[in-house]
Amino acid sequence: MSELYDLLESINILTLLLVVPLIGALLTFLAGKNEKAARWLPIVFSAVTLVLASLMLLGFDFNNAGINNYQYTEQYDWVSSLGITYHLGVDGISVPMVWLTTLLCFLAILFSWDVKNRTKEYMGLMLVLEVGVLGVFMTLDFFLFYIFWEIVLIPMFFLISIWGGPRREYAAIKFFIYTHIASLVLLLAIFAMYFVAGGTSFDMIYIQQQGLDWSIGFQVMMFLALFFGFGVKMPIVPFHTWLPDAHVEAPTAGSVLLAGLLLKMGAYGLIRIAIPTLPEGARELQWLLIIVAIVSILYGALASLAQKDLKKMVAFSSISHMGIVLLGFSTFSAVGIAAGVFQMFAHGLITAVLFMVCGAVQHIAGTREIPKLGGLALKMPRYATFMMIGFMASLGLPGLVGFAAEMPVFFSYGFLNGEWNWLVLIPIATVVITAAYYIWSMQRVLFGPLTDKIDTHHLHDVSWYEAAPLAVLCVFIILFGLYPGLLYDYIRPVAEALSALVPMGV
Amino acid sequence: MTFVEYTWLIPLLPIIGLLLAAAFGRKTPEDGGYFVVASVAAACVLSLLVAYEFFTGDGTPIYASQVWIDLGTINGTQYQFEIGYYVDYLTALLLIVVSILCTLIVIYSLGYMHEEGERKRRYYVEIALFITGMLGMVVASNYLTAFIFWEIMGLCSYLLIGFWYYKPSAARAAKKAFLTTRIGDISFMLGIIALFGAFGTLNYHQLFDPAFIDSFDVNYGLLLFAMLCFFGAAIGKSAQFPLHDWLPDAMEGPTTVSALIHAATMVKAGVYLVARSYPLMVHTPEVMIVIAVVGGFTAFFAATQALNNFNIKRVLAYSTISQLGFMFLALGCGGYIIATAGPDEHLLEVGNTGYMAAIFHLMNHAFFKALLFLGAGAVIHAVHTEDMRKMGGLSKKLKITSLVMLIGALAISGIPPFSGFWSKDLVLESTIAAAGVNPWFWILYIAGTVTAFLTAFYMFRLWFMTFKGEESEAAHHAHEAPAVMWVPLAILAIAATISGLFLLGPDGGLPAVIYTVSPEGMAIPGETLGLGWIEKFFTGWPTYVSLAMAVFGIGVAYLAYHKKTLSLGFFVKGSNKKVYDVLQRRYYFPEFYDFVGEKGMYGLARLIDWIDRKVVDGVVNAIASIAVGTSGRFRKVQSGYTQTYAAVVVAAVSVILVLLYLFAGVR
Amino acid sequence: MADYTAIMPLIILAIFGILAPAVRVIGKSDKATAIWALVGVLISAFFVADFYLSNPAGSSVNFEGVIELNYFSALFMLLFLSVAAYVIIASLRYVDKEKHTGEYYALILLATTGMMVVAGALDLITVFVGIELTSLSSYALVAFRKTSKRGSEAATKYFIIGALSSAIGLFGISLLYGVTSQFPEVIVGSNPMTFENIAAAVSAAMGTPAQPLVFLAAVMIIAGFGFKIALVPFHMWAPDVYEGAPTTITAMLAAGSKKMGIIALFKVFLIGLIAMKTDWQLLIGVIAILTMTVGNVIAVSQTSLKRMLAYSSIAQAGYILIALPVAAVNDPSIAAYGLAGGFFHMITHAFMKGGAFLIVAALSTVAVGENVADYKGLAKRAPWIAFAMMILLFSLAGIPPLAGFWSKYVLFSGAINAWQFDGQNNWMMWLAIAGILNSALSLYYYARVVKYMYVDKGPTDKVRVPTAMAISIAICFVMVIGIGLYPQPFIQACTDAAHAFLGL
Repeated sequence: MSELYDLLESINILTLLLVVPLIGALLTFLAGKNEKAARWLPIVFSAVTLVLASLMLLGFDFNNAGINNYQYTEQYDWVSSLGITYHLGVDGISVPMVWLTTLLCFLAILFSWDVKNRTKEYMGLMLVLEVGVLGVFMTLDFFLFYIFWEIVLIPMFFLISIWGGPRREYAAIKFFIYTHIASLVLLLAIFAMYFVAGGTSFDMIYIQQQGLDWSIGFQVMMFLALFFGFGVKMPIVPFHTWLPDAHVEAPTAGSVLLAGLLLKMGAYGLIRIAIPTLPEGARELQWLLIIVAIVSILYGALASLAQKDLKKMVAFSSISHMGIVLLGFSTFSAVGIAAGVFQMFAHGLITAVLFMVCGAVQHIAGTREIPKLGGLALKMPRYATFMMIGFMASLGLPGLVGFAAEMPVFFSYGFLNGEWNWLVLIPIATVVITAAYYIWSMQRVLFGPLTDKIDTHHLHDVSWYEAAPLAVLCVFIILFGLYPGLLYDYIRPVAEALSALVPMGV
Repeated sequence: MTFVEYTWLIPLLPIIGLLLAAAFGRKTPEDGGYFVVASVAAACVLSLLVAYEFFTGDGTPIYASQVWIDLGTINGTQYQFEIGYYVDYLTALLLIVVSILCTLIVIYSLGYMHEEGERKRRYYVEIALFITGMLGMVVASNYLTAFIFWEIMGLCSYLLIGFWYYKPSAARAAKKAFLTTRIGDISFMLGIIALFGAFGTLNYHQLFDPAFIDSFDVNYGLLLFAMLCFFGAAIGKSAQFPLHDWLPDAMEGPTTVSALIHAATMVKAGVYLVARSYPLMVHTPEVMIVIAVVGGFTAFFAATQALNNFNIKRVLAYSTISQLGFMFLALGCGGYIIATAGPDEHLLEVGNTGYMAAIFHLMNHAFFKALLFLGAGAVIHAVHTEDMRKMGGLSKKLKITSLVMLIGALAISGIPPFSGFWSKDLVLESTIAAAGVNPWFWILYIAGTVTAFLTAFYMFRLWFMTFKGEESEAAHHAHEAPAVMWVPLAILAIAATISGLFLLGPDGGLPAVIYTVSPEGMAIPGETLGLGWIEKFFTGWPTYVSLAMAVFGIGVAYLAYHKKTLSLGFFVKGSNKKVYDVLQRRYYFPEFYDFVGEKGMYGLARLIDWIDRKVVDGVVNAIASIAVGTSGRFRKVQSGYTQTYAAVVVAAVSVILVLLYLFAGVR
Repeated sequence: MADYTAIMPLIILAIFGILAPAVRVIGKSDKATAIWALVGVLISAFFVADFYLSNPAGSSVNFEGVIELNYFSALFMLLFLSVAAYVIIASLRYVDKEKHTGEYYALILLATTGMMVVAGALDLITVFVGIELTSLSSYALVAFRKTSKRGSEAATKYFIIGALSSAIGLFGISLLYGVTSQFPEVIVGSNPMTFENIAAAVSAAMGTPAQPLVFLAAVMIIAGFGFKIALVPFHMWAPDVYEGAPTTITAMLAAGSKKMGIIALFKVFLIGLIAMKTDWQLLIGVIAILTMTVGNVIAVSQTSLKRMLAYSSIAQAGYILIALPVAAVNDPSIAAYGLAGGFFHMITHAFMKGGAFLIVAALSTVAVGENVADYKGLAKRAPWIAFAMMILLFSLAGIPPLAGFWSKYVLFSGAINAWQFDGQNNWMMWLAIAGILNSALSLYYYARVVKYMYVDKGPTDKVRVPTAMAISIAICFVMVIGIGLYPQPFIQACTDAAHAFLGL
């Protein structure tokens, strides 16, 4: 235990992580007419949160990592008659997610520097969103988890429906209700498990220990419910159709957080709740997980290839890449789980770049239609560089963060349960499709002669508030691409413990 | 101090130059070119020192690596991706060739890219990264490290081929190159996965360890699969049939880049990968046959396409493909012999000849192909066209260039004493040796010999069309390249002339890279034969046959394109168009690729997209609209008439009663 | 000497009610009258609270075996009193243009008294009396605005259907009376209509020729009380009346008298007819699902906010009804849990829905229409009111961490609980599933209002609601937020109430 750890624990770092952005949000909402405050408050508060999260990352203690060895834990009674407690804690899986959340929120807020319309609501909602997502990643109580899970919907609903594109109302309502239904199914399952576990406590660890001796039938049923609840958020084919609409209509920062964080919540729930609590059920349904994962990977990639709208293409690519996360988990092997979690992190960084790039081109060129663009590299070299780094990382170029996640996933799937598995050819072949749509769109957007379909006189390169976040992200993409070990050291122990829970897997 | 321990520094040096160029390029002359030149030169010096140290050492491989990703423990096996360096004879030799060529090419660029303006900075940054990729691939200590640098190279080739990205053709060529090689890359990934799963490690020093030979038999299936995958990767990178078609298009990049890709880096990586995997591959004769056949066929197939092409760079491109085919042919034959030799010492030695021939040819080809490309670059630089029909009679204006090009042409055609002769002859020797084991290899021998003829023909066709004949329009105001360009040319010319004699080199020279399968399956320095090589290999009939072929080819070219007395109607434009078209249209390969890409993949994508919108999302929207629609219908029931409400109340009571009577057993 | 503790709150409230017109005449001021009524409410509340605080859970006092004050009845008396309180405060400005405000407040107090009677009643007749007291007062209240055509029409409808239902209900009650008289041996004490006696008689009647009578009675009572609760298919009056009535009264109907009806139903079925539960559990379950579904589905296409809220109240009653079959399962702890959920939702709904109606009322006083479309851009015109409305609506939709979320999901989880443990009640999971699908559907129309208020552009002139109404809205708002952030004491209270109710 380092002094840093003790210090942070003594100041209830996790609660602080929730409180700081919340205060920031309130102050921003109350900022009134003061435009300056509405701009700077969120930046300052999200920056402070980021610093706190980074400290937490550094203070994390590797020695007692592993399953159910949560750190910085806090627990207070809340609704004692239902056994609901305010219980926070982080382990090797959640720490990277928490840090990613704070980073992306800070950068997204910075990126939204030029939002003119109802700035303070916009910024405040972003901070509320941050609170919700952080809560999801830090809580150890089922009910609290669900509360944060639902809170996240509200700000995203507003972000889409107020600052969104032309079809924003349809998209917002669709997103809201579709994911809400999934959450409700989730809630049903949570209650069922709560009662079967004795109806005395919603504590994850407690229920998980109870779960060990549940009948397979019940586990399978519960796992299906949880899988649906989390899967819709991930999203998995065929429950993904809210995603393209939501992404296409959402404002850039909204898409960044949606793809960078909200999708991760689904995967996180799967690995934090579903698999450890219902290992037998997970094993029984491994075939389902794998099929869904493979289909999502292939389906998402092919659908991206067909898109004309740059942002929609990126949205579909998220489906494909979250499929890789699921594929990693579904092997139940230490390697697969660790790589899946790493892919969550990697995709968070990469997809943020991708959506920022889409937003920037919309903002500068006024359109995202690939056929209308062309030759942008001539006028916007810096933009072209960012786009290229993002695309290359996303198609899994070694040395960038995506590869360090995909390769182990493919490996663990290639030796599913210890046997060589020919099906690994499908996800690996998808790599070519992925390369195809990225390279193809890049060729048509950046290269070739300057387009004449749009007015190119006012084209300018990305401005500082766009370049800065992109640059930061690219640095991390390269850094974690070159030294993935930095993160794997956090994840590995937990992954090994988790895979030990599931009675199979290599 | 020992330099070998600093091998890891070699690929990093160009990175430093890259960063400096990126940071201060704008302010320095040549936009940071000098930084890159300096750093590459430094890498070159270090490489030479390392190579010298190794060749003078005892020959046991030197390696060091550290954990890159610790993936965790599964069933007791700890899976770790490592990263590090591994030096043996092959590495050392490649280091020499690659680093020298890269240095020369970068220096040459100073002159060639001079007019490119501030775009130069990007050029130098990318080229430095490219060189990093190749050097890293060469010194890598395991397949994963190799793959990483392999991919970096792929990226840079994409960027450099598309250097003039505003030219649609360039953008298209870049895309094609990336995607085609990408197919090879996933095959590499598959191989790595299979190997990693089968043996739990990717490190050369462990896999090549004799202790592993037994486990090969256990996991033979996976080993075979992995080796096939590795060759698949090589097919992509080294532009072998059927993934060869990106290379000619890659000529869209600056000539220096073409030189780099064709002579020193990129396409050589494939050959290197196969040579590197030899200790594993020689246990899988099946793979060796595949390699030999693909190599032999490609050599012939590509040569034919060079016959009547008018773009000077494309002719060279096809010749590259064909020469690479030679290398694979040799590797395949040699490996096949070794794989089937068993304990037979003599056969083993013969097999080794194939391996050595390939490496030897790789080296020689590197020199004379770089020479030819840079020469072509000088020509293009002078006349600002790549169409040979617009050239002609340049020899008077470009004396040096025409001379060095001639040397290059002689070398590639296999005229002694130029380097090409020696290695190509050894390649053919190895095919004959293989034919001794398996008569079918005679076909490959014949293919190779015919290719030798074709090569000589199209090279001299190129040379005559460019430098001889009456002065063309372009030739008038052509002028010789600056020193910074022709000095490297001169050096390369000398190298191309003498590198063949390396064969006779001192102990620890080329013979040392012979891969001898000692019972332990380790690479050990072979004994040198000195002049013994000559009588051992260059006195038999095959030598004379191939010599005759070369001379014959040159002769035909001379008659047809210099004296113009011989007309080759059957494939030049005009007369019988069939052959001409097929060759011009590259056997319809571009169409084939487009068909697969456009019709196949994109069509499928469109279908999926349609399903997504109409079916998957359709269901969702349908449900929603049903809910809303029902609401509207129910709403009408609310008439507002009190009597209706009263009636409903009474009716409801009676209905409930009836239901209870029927179902709840109220009697 | 009888112990008057149990009825003291009722007496006080009745007295204050009866004297209210006099106060109006003497004081010549609406304000004075309203304050008078408020004081009455507070004093009565003081007595209830005094019992609640000074006695441990499970204790009870009763008046002549007619009205009992225990942890259940006290809780709901407090609920009805607080409803009355915020309605009165709101009315201070809402009806100040009208004549006869003295009668207005008097009727409110009397209606509340009736509700409290029902909450405390120990026998069926008393329950009926309480209901009638409330009904008659509320008929008059609905018609309070003589000038308003829609008001009078609504009142007429309300009265006619009400009379019909009362008749049916009374018929059912009389049938039960007949049944009890057939089994004099099981009757304890002088009053055969106490729920204990009914229960005894009914269980005795099982399997005898009298059984069909009990069924008939049950159905009739469902119809009679179902009218107050606006259960489908006895709901059709509700939207028209809610729309036509003065909105403050609408709030009282939704928050108060509806709950009264539910309590009556609970008392009859969970105590009186518990012996034949296997026959009505499924029936009630079906009605519950029907009610919540019809309510939500029709609400989706409403353009008038008042009507939309009316339908949503119907749906909410459907949710609450889930508790009835659940509370009848054999395992007492599960039954108590389910019943507590029902009670909890009654409480939160009283504040959520009441608050929503009050906001409509408040805005209508400042010339904002009652259609959903009139709320466009409200966030700019009245930020706090819009915010309160959003919170209340999201609470109704069950978005955490608001009051409605807790109560709704404690309620649903009760059904899951029953499904988990009570072997023969596997179908009860469907109650939870139906509830959940319904709340997903309801999110659609609640979110639509929020969208109008926050997303759409509307008139930009600021509107300022009267302070009095702002206060009453604030009460509901604070309750919703407060319960949401710290539900523990309320859940505890509801659990105690459930135990008291089931006599555990």
